[in-house]
Amino acid sequence: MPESKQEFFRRYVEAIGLRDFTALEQMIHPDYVGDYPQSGERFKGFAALKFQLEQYPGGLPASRFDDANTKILGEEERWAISPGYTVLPLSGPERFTTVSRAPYPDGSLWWVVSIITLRDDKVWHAETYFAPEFEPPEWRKSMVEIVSRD
Amino acid sequence: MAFDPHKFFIKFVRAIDELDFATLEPMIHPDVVGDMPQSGERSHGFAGFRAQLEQYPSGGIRNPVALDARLVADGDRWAITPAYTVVPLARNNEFTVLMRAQYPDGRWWHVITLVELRDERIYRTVNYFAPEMPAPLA
Repeated sequence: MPESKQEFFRRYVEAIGLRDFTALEQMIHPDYVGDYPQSGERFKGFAALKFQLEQYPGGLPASRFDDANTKILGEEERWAISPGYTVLPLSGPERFTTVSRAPYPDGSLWWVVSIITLRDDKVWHAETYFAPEFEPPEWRKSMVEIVSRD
Repeated sequence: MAFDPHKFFIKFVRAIDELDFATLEPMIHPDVVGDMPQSGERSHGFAGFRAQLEQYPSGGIRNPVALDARLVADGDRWAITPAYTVVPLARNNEFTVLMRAQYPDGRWWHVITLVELRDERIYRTVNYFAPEMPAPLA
């Protein structure tokens, strides 16, 4: 049975968390481009992805796939109708949004949101955002409910 | 006229920029819930949504890049029912909206919002706020 996209991204998020480069390399397209819009950084190729995960100052703590805090938004099945009213699978780029929560060397937890485009069933482009946890501001505490982050 | 999510979200972001609550209210589902996982905050209803925008210290966010807000979703997505009717997939109502906005202290942040629509209104939002930062020195 072919692997579903949900299963694929589950393996992808886990491989990043555990720094499993053997698994990760198989999932990365040879023309991979990774963008960090917050800093303007762009990484090209698997070697660059591996380098930044390996060389992060202080070492990124390993993290396992966290079901409660990992989301994958996208479609399993996508179809279009041809002019002849035949129903066809869409062949365009497949884009997904993944959300995970990652520990940093200083002990802080950050939310990581990636907009990922697949090509040839591999990660071809990843646009990633890093959002730090923060305490609810006093000025709006009366307007909101506080839910657990874990 | 068919509902156009892209136009909908551009209008939504622009209305936030202008604090145009008359435009915003009909775009928000009465049962809207907004989550901010970074702080664990959850707001309910249009009043909660409006209060946060109105009462943000020092005037709130400014200059959200409405025209460049990008919608991450596919255009037409369909499934086939057992009776061979072609219907939009239920998850066609989920979108990722990316924006860039300036805060009162002058800093720019990226805002990533995962949105679920219901009845062509904003029903669930999950919001992430990511500050711009310099690239680490090589």
